[in-house]
Amino acid sequence: MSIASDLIRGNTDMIVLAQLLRQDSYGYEINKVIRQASGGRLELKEATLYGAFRRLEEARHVTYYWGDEATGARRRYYRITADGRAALEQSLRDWREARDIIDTLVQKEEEKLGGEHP
Amino acid sequence: MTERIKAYVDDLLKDAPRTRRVVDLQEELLSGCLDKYADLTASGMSPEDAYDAVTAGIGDVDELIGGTRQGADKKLIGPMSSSLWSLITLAYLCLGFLLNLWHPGWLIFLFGALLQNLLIASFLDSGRRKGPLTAALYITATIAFLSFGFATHMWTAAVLVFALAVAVQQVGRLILLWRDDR
Repeated sequence: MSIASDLIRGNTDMIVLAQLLRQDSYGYEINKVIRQASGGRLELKEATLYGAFRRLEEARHVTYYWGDEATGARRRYYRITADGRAALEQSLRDWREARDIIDTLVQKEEEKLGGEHP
Repeated sequence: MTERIKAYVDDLLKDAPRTRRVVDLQEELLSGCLDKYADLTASGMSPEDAYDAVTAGIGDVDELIGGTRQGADKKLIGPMSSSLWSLITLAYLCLGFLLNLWHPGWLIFLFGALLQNLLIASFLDSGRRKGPLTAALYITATIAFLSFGFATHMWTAAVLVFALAVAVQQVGRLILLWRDDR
């Protein structure tokens, strides 16, 4: 992971939940979608991803069911719940608000920096 | 190579308590690693490089196991209850030798058992519903013991209240374990 990993880590739950909005999915598939959609800039550690799943489960934002893979280990599929959708909406609002505040606060300084380093 | 990945995953979790949570995590982690390995080798990576990439991508699973609230906390219980019993014995001997209170003094061991149960309950069950329930159970038992003792002066019989409390606690723990396991 090469970009701003701390900034992203705080939003892992929101990112994972957003992926489940489209369809039920399992850890590796979610991570693969994240990697591809971010152009290879973001790939979560397995532990980070499963940590997010456990938090989301405990908050009842997702439920899980096991896949029926015949060989190897079964996949644990996750499905977003109604509570999860509500939580995602709230997280997205919070995220946009925080982003706007930060943008507003640093914009002027950014312009100065831009002036010094054209 | 599948076996090697499985061995690696098993080894990562070998010290974790065999709770439902850890068993699930083990299977989920293994399936994730195998999927990734299959994907990487299918895209032309050598088995050795794919194995390295898979194991390097797992990250720190300790925090996930820590989420079960057992592990580091559990290790403290042994030393803490040894020191508790040493202190209780010391207090008993002081009461006996210095004040000649051997007879009611032995009751301090019951107090020790109560403290130890509370200690274990608060460490193992923190963050869950069992902690407060166990505490309430033992406080009720202590009140029952004191009331019965003072009312009837049958202290020896009153002690059975604690035996009852321990039995109730064990049955309760079994029920909760059974429910968690389903």
